[in-house]
Amino acid sequence: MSGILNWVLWLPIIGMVGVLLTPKENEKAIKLVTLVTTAITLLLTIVLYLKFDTNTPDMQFVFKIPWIAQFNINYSLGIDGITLPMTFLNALLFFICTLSSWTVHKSPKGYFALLLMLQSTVFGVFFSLDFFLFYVYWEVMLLPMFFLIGIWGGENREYAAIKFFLYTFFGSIFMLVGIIALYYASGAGPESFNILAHQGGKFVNETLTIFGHTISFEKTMFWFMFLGFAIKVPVFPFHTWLPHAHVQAPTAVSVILAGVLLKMGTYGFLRIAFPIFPAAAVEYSTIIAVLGLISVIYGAFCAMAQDDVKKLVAYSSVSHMGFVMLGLSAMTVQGMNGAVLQMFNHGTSTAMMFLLIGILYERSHHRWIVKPDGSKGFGGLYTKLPKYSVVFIIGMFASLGLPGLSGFISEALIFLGIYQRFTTITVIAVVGLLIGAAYLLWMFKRMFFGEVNPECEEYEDMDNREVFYMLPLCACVIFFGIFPAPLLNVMKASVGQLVDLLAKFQV
Amino acid sequence: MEYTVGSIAPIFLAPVLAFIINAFFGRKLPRQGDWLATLSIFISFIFSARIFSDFVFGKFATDFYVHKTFTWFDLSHASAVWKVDMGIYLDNMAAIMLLMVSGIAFLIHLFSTWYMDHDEKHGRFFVFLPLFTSAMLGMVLSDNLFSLFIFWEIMGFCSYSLIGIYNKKEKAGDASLKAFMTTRVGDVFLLLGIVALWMVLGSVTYVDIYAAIAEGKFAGQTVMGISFATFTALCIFLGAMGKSAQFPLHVWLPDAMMGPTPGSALIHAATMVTAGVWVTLRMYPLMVLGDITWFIAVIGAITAFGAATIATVQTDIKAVLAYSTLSQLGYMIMGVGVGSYNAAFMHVITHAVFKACLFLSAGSIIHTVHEQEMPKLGGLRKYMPYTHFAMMACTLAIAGIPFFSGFVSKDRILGDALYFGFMAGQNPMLAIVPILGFAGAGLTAFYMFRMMFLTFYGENRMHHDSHGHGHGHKDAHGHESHGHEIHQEHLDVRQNVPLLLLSIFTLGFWFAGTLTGQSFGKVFGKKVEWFKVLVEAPRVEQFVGHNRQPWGSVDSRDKTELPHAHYHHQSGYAGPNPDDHKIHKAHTIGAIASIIIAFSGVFLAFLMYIQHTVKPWADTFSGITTTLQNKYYFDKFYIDVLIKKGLLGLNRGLAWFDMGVYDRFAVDGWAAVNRVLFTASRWFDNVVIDAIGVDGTGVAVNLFNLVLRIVQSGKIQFYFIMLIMVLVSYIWTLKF
Repeated sequence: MSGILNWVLWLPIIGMVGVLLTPKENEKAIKLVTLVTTAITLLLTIVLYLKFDTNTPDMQFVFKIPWIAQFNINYSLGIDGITLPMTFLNALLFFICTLSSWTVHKSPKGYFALLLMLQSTVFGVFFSLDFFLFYVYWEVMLLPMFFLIGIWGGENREYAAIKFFLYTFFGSIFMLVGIIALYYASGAGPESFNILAHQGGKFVNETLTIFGHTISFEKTMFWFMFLGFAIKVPVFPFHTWLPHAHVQAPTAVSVILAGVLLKMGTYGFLRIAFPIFPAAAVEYSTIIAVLGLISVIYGAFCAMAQDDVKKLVAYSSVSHMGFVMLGLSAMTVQGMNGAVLQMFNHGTSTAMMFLLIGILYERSHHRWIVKPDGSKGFGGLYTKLPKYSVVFIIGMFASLGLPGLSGFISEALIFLGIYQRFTTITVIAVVGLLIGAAYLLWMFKRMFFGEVNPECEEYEDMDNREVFYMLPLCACVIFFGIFPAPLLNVMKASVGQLVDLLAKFQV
Repeated sequence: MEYTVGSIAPIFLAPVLAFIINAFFGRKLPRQGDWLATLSIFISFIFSARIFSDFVFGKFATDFYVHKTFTWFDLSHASAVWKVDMGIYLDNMAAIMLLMVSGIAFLIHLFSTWYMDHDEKHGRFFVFLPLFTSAMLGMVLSDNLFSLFIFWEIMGFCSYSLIGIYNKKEKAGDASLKAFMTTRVGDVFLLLGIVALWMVLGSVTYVDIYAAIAEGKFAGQTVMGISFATFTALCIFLGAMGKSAQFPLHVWLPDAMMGPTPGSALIHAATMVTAGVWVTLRMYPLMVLGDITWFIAVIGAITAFGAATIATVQTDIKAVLAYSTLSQLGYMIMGVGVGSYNAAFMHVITHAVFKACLFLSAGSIIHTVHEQEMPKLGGLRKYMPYTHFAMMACTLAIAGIPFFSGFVSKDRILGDALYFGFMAGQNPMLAIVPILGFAGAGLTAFYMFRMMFLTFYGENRMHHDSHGHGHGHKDAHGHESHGHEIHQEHLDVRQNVPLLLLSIFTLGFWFAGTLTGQSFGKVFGKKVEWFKVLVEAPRVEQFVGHNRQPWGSVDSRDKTELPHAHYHHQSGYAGPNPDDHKIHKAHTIGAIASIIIAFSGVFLAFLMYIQHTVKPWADTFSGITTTLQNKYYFDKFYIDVLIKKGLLGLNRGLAWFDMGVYDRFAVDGWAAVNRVLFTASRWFDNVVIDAIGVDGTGVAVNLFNLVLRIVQSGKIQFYFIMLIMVLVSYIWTLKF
C-alpha cells in the first residue's frame, strides 16, 4: 500500500503532462483530462481514508527512498491523522475547482496545467517527511500560484502576484535558514533532514553563538520557522498580502488559496514548529494566542467595512484562521483538535463562499456590495436566484458557525481549548463570533433582500454544472456539522500525541 | 411503564423528518407538504401527551426523571479521555413543556395551512416551521447546556428565516438581521458561560452542574476577579436576555412581526422567547449560587413595565401584541428573580397558550380584512364572532382577570415580588421590582382592552376610507388587498378551531386545578394543585452521585423506588421558608391589589375607547407619547449611534488603516527601502567601485544589483527559472 501516496502525488503531474500534450485548440479535451485526473485523485484519497488506521498516531503509507544521498536527502512520504483531512480537502477542492473553471477560456492549456501542478505541490507539502523535499514543494508551489494570479487574475493582478510571491518568499527564507540550522545542529547525519527525527524537543539545550552572544537555539529557530508559517496562515500583522491576492485571483485560485494554501501555514506549526521546538512553543504560546486573537477581531472588523464581497470574505479568512491559531496556542486536546477540524471546515465553507462569489461575478462582472459611487451593487438576489441563495445561506451560516453546520463544532472546541489556558483571551474572542455573524449577515441583507436591482434582472440562476460542484461542499458542511466523529476519529490520535508532547514542556 | 429512547425521540425526530422532506421535495408534494409538517407535529404531540399523562397522573414519583446519554464524538487518545455526550433529560417540567410546545405548535401549523394558503411563501414557510418546532422540542429534551445551545442557535436561524421570509421587503431584511444579531449578543455570552462551566466542572450536563453546586465545587473559583458562579450565571442569563428579549436586548422582538403572523405566534408563544426563560429556570440553582437573582428580578421588572408603557400607544394590532409579549416575558424573568420558580414556569405555559391564541386571532383578523392598523378597524365583533370570542378570552387571561389563567400565574409572581421587595429584608431599592410589576399589570389590562375595544367594538371605520388606495401595503403577509367588503366569519376548521381550542385553556382552572387521583392522595394525604406538585426548583443535593442510563436502556422505575418523594411548598429556592406566613400575607395583599389594578385598567380603557369620556394619552401627554412611540429611542440609539457611528466608524477606520497605512507604508515600504538600496548600490558600484577599480567586489555588487533590478522590474518569472535551473543543475552535479 505504500505506493499509494506516490500515485496521489504524481497523478496530477501525469495529468499535467496529458494537458500539455493535448492540442491548444481542443479546450474540451484539456478540461476533461484535468477533470478525470482530479476525479481519480479524489477517489484515491477516499481509498486512503478507508485504509487509514485511526488508532495509531504514527505516519502511515510511508514511502522512503534515498534521493540525494550525499546530503542525506530522502524522498520520504507519509501521512498521519493531521494530514489526511488536508489531503482529502485538497483533492476535493481541486476536483471542484476544475468544474468551476469550465468557464475559463483564456489560454486554458496553461491554466489547467498550472492548476494540476499546484495540486501536486500542495500534496507534496503535506506528504513530505523530509525537510528538503518539504522546502522544495513549499517553494515550487509559489510558481503556479504566481502565474495563475499574474496571468488569469483581475485588473491589478501583477501587483498582487508579486506581493504574494515576495511576501511568502520572504518568510520561507527564514524557514530555509531554520532547516539548514537544524541540519547542522543534528550533526548532518543520515536523519538530519528527517522531520520526524527532529521532533520531541531535542534542541531544548542547544545554543547558538552570534556575534559573541550565546542565545537559545530552540527559541531563535522557533521564531524563524514561525515567520515562515505565520506569513502563510496569515497571522496579523503579516496578513495584508491576502486581500490583494484574493481580490485579484481567479475564482478557482481563490478557492485553493483560502481552502488549502493557508492551511499549509498552520500545518507547518503542527508538523514542524510545535513538535520540533515544543519548549519554545509553550513559552511563546501567549504571543501566538494574542496574535491569533488580534487576527480574529481585527480581521472581522476590517471585513465589516469592505464594500467588495471578495475582499470581505478574504478578511473573514484572516479572522477564521485566527481561530485556528487560537486553537493551536491552547495546546489542549480540545483546542488542537478544534484547530485541525477548523482547518478542514474553513476549507469547505470558505471554498463555498469564494465559489459562490465567482458564480455571481460571472453574471455581474463586478463584486461591489456598494459601488464606489454609493449605489447598491446588488439587490433582491434572493428573489432572482433562489437556488443560488439557498446554497449561499448554507455556506454563509457554516462560515459564521451556526450549530448543525460544520464551523460551529470546531469553533466551540477551540473555545473550550483556550479557556483552560487563556481565560481573558477567550472572553475577548467571543466578540469575533459576534462580528463574524454581523458582517456576513449584513452583506447578505444588502445583496439578497429588497426589490430586485434592475441590473440583476438578467442574472440566471445556477446551472446544473454549478449545482453539481456545490453539492459535495454542501454535503460536507452539513454532514460534518452533525457527525464530526468521522473526521475527529481520524485526527485525534495524531493530535493527541502532539498535545502530550507539548504537555511535557508545560510548567 | 417503560421508557426507551424510542418512546421519546419521535417527539423530536418527527418534525425533523418533515423538515427534511419538505426542504427537498416540498415543492413536489400536494399543498407543498403543509399537511406533512402538521402531521409530524401531531405525532410529537401524541408522544408528548403520553409522557405528560404518565407524569401528571402519578405513574412516577414527583422527582422522577429519565436521563439517557450517548456519545456524540470522542476525542480520547492514549493519555486522556474526553468525549462529548448528548442525551435526553426528561423530568416533570420537560413533560409539561413538551406538551405545551407540541400542542401549540400543532394548532399553529393547522392555522397556518389556512393562513398561508395561496401565499407565495407557503412552501418555504412549512420548511422552517417544523424545523423551528423540532429545535424547541430538542432544546427541551436536552440534558446539557451544549446541546441546548445547539438547538437554541438553530431556533435563532429559523426565526431569522421566518422573519425575513418576505425577502422582497427591505424591512424584512432589516428585521431579520436585527433579530439574529441582537440575540447573538446574548448567545456568545451563553457560549462563553457554557465553555467556562464545561472546562471547570468537566461537564455541562444539568445534573452534573446541580451536583457540583451541592458539592461546593464552585467555591473559591474566580474568573477575571469575580466569582466563578457569578460569572457563569451572568453569562447564561445574558444569553437568556437576548433570547427572551429582556431590556436592553429587547429591540428585536417587536420588529420580528415582519414575518407571517402564525410565525410570530410560534416565536412569541411556544418557541424561541420561552427558551431564555427555560434556561434561566434550568440553571436556577446557579443563579442563586451566583447571587444574581436580584439582577434578574430588576431586569424582568424593567422589561415588564417598560414594554407595557410602549404597548399603550401602539396602533398596529401586532405591535401591541409584540410589546405585550415583551412585558409578559419580563414577568416570567422577574418571577424567576424573585424566587417564584413555580409561578414563573406556569406563566411560561399560560402565556404561551393565550399569546398563541392572540396572535392567531390577529392573523385571523388580518387575513380577513387585510388591515392591521387599529384606528382603521373597529366593530369587528359582528363579523368575526369566533375570533372575537377567542381573543376576548385571551385578553381576560393576559389582563389578569380572576378565574383566567393569566391571573393564576401572574398574581403568584406579583405576590412573591411583593414579598421580595418589601418583606424579605432585601435592599430597599429592590422595592422597585413589585412597584413596576404592579404598575405594568395595570397597564397590561389597559392596553389589551384598548386593543379589544378599538378592534372589535364601536363602529367599523374601514368603510370611511376611500376605496382607491389599497390597505394591503401595511399587510405583513404580502396579500393583495381585496377591497373592503368584510365577509361574515363562518366556522372554519383550520381558521377557528385552533383559536377556540386554545381559548378553552385560558381558564385558570386548568393550571390551578387540583387532582384527586389516588396517587397524589396517598402520597400527600390531601388535595394539591398538580402544577405545584410537579414543578419545583431542582434540589441540588438529590443529584449527587446520580447514575445516567445508557442510550438503549429501558427505563421502568416507578415511584416505589423513590420513596423519599416529598412536597415542599417553596417560594424561594432555599427550601422551606421560615417566613411562610409573611409570604402568605404578601400573596393575599398581592391578589387583592392585582384584581383592583386589573379592573381599573380595564375600566380606564372602557372610559377612553367606549365611553370616550376620558381623552386618550396622545391628546393629553404628547411628549410622553412621542417618547413611547419612539420606544424610548433605544432602536435609534443602537442603530444610529452604536452601530452606524461606533462600530462601522471603527471598522472603516481600521480597514483604512490596514490598506491605506499599514499595507502601503509598512509592507510596501520595503519596496521603497529596496529602491534606496538599489540606487545606493548602483551609485556605490559606479562611483566608488569603478573609481577604485576593485574588480572582485564590483562583481558581487553587480550581482546584487541584478537581483534587485529583477525584483524591482517584476521579472520574477526569470528569477524563478534561474532559481530552479540553479537548483536542478546543483542537484545534478551532486548526484554524479
